[in-house]
Amino acid sequence: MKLFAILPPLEAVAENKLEQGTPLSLEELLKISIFQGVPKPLLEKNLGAVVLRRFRKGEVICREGEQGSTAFYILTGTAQVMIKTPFAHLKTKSTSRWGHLFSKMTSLFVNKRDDPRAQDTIAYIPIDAPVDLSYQDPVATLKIGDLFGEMTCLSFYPRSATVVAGESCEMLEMLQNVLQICQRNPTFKKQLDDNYRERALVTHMKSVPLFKTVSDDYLKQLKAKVTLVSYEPGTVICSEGDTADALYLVRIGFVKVTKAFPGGEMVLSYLPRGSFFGEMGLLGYVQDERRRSLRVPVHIPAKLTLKDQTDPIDVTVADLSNHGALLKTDHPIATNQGLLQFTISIEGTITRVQVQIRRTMESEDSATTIGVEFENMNELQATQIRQIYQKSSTTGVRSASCTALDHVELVRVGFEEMRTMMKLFPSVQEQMKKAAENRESANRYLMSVPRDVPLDDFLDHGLIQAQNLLILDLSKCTRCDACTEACAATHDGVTRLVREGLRYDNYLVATSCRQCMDPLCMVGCPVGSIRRKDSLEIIIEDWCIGCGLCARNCPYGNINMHPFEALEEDHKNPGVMKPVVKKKATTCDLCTDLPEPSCVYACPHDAAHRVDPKSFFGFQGSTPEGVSVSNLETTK
Amino acid sequence: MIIDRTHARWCYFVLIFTGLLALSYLIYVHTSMVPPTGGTILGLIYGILAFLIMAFVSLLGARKKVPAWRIGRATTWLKGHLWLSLLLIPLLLFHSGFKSGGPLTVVIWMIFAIVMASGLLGIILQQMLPRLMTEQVRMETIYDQIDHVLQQVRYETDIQITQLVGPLGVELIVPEGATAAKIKEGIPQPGSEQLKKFYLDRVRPSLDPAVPVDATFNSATKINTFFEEARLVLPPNFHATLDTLRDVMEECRQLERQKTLHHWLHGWLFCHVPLSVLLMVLTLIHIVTALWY
Repeated sequence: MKLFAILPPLEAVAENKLEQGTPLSLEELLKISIFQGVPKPLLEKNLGAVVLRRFRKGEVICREGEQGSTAFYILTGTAQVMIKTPFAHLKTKSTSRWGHLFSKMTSLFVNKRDDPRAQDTIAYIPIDAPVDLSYQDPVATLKIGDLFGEMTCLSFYPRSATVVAGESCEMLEMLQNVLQICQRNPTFKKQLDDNYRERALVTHMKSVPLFKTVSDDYLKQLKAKVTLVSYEPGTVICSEGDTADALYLVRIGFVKVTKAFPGGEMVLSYLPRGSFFGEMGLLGYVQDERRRSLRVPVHIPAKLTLKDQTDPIDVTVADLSNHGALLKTDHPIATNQGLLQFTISIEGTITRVQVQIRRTMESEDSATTIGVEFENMNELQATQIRQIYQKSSTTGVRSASCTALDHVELVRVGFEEMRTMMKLFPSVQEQMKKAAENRESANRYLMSVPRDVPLDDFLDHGLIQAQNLLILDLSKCTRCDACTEACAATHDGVTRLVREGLRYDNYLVATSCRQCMDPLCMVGCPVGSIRRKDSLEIIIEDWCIGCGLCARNCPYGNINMHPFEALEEDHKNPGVMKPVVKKKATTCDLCTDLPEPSCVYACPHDAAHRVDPKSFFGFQGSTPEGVSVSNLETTK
Repeated sequence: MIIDRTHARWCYFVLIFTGLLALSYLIYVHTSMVPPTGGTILGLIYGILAFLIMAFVSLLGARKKVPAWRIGRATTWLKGHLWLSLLLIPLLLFHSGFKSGGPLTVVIWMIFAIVMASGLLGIILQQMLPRLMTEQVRMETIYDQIDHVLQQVRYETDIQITQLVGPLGVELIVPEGATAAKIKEGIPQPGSEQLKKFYLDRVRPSLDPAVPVDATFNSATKINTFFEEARLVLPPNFHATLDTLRDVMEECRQLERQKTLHHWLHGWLFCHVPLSVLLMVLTLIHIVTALWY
């Protein structure tokens, strides 16, 4: 079906015309369902920011790793979305037949089938489209009504996948302002959500390791019960200490997970699409028996007419089971879903509360004051109350705060649904327990870092590490560069170490992965291939597309792009394969295949050490002069 | 390499071994009434041991060429190089029976003395200079990058001053590998000419990587004094610029200092390494000659 009869047939259009796209008039735009309901003047102002693009079968619409700033909406036809970069991670391996004697290590590109790594459980690759790609066969089809490239458009992340026209197709290519207009349009939003719910939600849930064993039938039932929620950049999704009431799956964007830490805030992770959070709280890993808080969403009563979301509101919560004693609340926030959210601090046991809402600016007499009792509230709220009342409840509080880093869309699976699922599929609970235990042990590790450390220095310099640091004792180092030469000799001539970095007293923290407090390298990875293991070590997954964003984001230059040769179809000669140089991101691998890192082994002056930062900085902070490197734990 | 407690075992070994060598030498002298020479069995044993040690210590250079080979930690090699070299002194003395011998052996003795002296100098320098460099050069960079950093500093300072006072009238040299920046020339303010002249005449010449830093700027105190004096001459609106120039000059001074210290730290090797090779060659000639004749 041709939407635009005024346009010439596709075959007659010159190539360059296709490249440029066709600007659309206001009337033409209004014919398209996604723009219906958008105010005309708003659309008129942004006419140049959306074009109609037409692609022939097999034509490349966008390529993985490329920079971009637009999103595509499919009007007619289909498109194939795929990752063309070979799946592999860089592995250095000693290939010597003489044991470790002549240990020149060879950089090998191996995939997880040949080299399974710990926690390699991800079967689906998240991309910037409403579908996930299977690790086994990373190709999927996009259909009419699908929107792809949202993250590139909104946050300027590199393209996550290559999209090729599956047949002759027409698409709208739009810039950020148009996409934002569309997202604010309830019709369009509903259409996207419905599409997603119908086509991708089950796959998405299947891609989450927690739900691996849940039957398709159950997931199909579940898809109607879950809530799709979106957050603008900087919005707090949940705060540390809040009552846990749901599990969240990241659908679009990045969620920053932080934890309060003595002297600062630690970024535990940036969760990309395909990740989940909230399992620890649901399982009650973090319980506070004496003092609990409950985040309460209350429908704003119709008679309390609010001008906008900033209208000042006052909320009073009385504990009816305790002679109307007032409970502490935080500042209420009106959401755009017509809800008022606030947190009640609860001590001991309560059975019945009453909520009064009024506008602050009005006098007591004229204020709209209504009473809401929890018993009369909807099921969701009642569930939350039950969670508090039931002593046997397993729910707890959030162990960390989660904030939307950019435009974030989440799938919210409520507590009741999770509880039912856990009953029906005990393996879900086991998986959740496992994930929660891993995260809990990582958190415990972090909290075990000595408190007397000058934490500001740690935070400022990004020197809090979970595993290892390469430090050079500058009072011994003769600057002979044997360490970097050894690193290069070990890794096919490409050094992963630069003898420059931050100084900490007489020590130089040389440039190699530091597993920072705030791992900026993870922000924006279009395919979520760089992530932090529970041990906090940075790992780059097989499906890295070599866009180099992580290398650019790393403030210490600790991520290198390692070139390798691959075969790719020649754009000029379809069907002909040609060798091309692709890249994969890599960090210092600590020469894990060898008994000791090469840099340390090759330092003739005993100046290079891999140290456990906990023990090193533990006393470095208080008595720097007394530190003897020979007493440090040199990790192997 | 810092000589610390980790060298204790090597030190004891050398002392004990030297003691044993001396004992064997004294016993030989006591029993045969003449000192051993290269021609005697014991003298030959001393010579063979000395040659083996010389061969081992010479291999340190080769070991550095293959840093990835797991043939012993580099630090162990260097410790062996240092301490076993010291054993050469008693071994060669006992081998020669405390005699200088013919012209070839005299030359060998002389070169050996220089090699040992340069080695000892190297140890002393490596004890002191890394610490000195750490203390004195807080803005240290990779040695090979110093010239590039200096070029970059000069270029950036040129741009900064141009933005303040207008065209400098000199060619702005873009550092290798960098792209020329688009310079927005500033509107000259009162005192601009003064600042321009001050920069071009007094500061900029010392920013040239090819030219050593002027004596006026060879210490942090001198730099501070110089710019304090300049504050009295230049109008207050340029005082912040003077602070920047002072920091720039301090960076250049530190990098120059790094260069100097680096040359001292590694310069002795230019004497030590070639003479060690020559010593090895002459020793081989000595062995062949001794065996042949």
